[in-house]
Amino acid sequence: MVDTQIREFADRLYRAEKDLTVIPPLTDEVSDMAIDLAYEIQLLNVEKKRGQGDRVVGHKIGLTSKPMQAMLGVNEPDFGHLFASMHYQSGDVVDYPLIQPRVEPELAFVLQADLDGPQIGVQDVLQATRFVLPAVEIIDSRIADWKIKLADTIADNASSGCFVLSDTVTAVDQANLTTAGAILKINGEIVETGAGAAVIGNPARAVAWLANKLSSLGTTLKKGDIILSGAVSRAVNVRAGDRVSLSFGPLGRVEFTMQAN
Amino acid sequence: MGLRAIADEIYQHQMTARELDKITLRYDGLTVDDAYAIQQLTIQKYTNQGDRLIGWKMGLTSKAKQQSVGVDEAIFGHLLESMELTNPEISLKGLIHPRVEPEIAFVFKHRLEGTRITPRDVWLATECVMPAVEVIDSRYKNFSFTLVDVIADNASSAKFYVADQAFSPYQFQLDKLGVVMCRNGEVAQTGAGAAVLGHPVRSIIEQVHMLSRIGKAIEPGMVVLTGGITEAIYIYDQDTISVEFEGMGDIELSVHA
Repeated sequence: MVDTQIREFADRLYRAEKDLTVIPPLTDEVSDMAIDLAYEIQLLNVEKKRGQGDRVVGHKIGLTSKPMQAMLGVNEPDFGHLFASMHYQSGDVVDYPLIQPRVEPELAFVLQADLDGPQIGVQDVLQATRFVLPAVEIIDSRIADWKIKLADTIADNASSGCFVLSDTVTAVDQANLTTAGAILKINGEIVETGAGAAVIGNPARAVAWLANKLSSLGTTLKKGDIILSGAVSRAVNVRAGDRVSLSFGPLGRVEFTMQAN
Repeated sequence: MGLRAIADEIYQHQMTARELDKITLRYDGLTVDDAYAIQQLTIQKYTNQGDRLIGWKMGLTSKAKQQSVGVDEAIFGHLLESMELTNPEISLKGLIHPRVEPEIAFVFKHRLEGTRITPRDVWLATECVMPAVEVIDSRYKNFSFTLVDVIADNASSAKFYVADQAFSPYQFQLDKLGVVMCRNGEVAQTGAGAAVLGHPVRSIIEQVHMLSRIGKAIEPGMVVLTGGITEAIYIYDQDTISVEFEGMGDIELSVHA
């Protein structure tokens, strides 16, 4: 793939996001797109948004469960960038422009120290974590009908939409990261339950993976960064007007409404 | 209609661990009441041989499972003494295509019967709650069945194991309880207690209400398995299955031929 094509793919994704339209999978045209190039496409659009005044506030980790990895035929997670404009707080009406949104219960980490790869392990993550908090990630895809392959989702900022954080935070030494139970409801009905270990055995392990992955790309996780560590259940479709709630037991809750049409 | 003959057939297949064609494919017009009658006739065959009824189990307690068989109600089955594993070991002998699921077991000190049971009736009657793993094994080909089939087959009951440690029913919020099930060290399923009808206590209420239709009750000393907190997973020879219940410790089961 040449530079102009990478740029062209990035533009296509950017326009789809702005216009709330979908495009065919990029991998329909370049079936063997290298992962590095897919991240290059993602970064082009990250720089573009930065240039327009948005601010990167952290990262999201995707493909953290065995079934998701199996579905895309991969054996490691991927990541995307979180912007200030994506951030909602529990109780908000989510009015972010979305195309085909799905919700996922997650644990978010907020860092109190930089995490400099490539030798980061779970203990380093625990020491660098200021607190953890429940979060609902609203994922979205600019690719028609979510027909994504690994390179498609990576190029598309790991299928990010926006995210909603809990008002309750918990010190990491007070949280059962692996056995904390999550209950996701839509309009009062339980749609999914799960526990932290669904994220590659331990959400802190996913954060360690991210720190090391970023170091291979020449960047680091910074103090103050928000990290969405990965879904603890399957993703569930949401529609305009839906009420979404997540209970993460003693770790707190997240509640919000999807703006009605 | 020969409900007794159907019960004989199911009993034979349960005893010999041989697959069976769905009874609803071969007998027309079987109702849910017929299916529970078949279930009771089958259980009588065991108790006539000296086995003993020690409790009940609930099935189809999640929306997803109810949808998969096209119903909006849970089902129940009988638990016999011979089904309880006294050691954390599962022998595949006598099983067809077994699967395991994590559950919360309630153990009762008082009788519970009637059609207007509330959560506080359940708590007052409960001695303790315990982590448990149920081994389910449908006698039907490909684990595929309709509501009537699965009820007749004792709600796919096969074996169950209850942990050593009992807990006060007031110690945990059972709906919030997180559960992680691993196969050979790798996370296979996670869930929370609310997957069971919103709260496992609701499962006990349903159990009592359904029992009252056939003139039965939860008796003192009985154990009730409230329903799978996650999807069930298949087990194979040499597997190690470990299940951690948030704050309640874990159960480790080894599987062998």
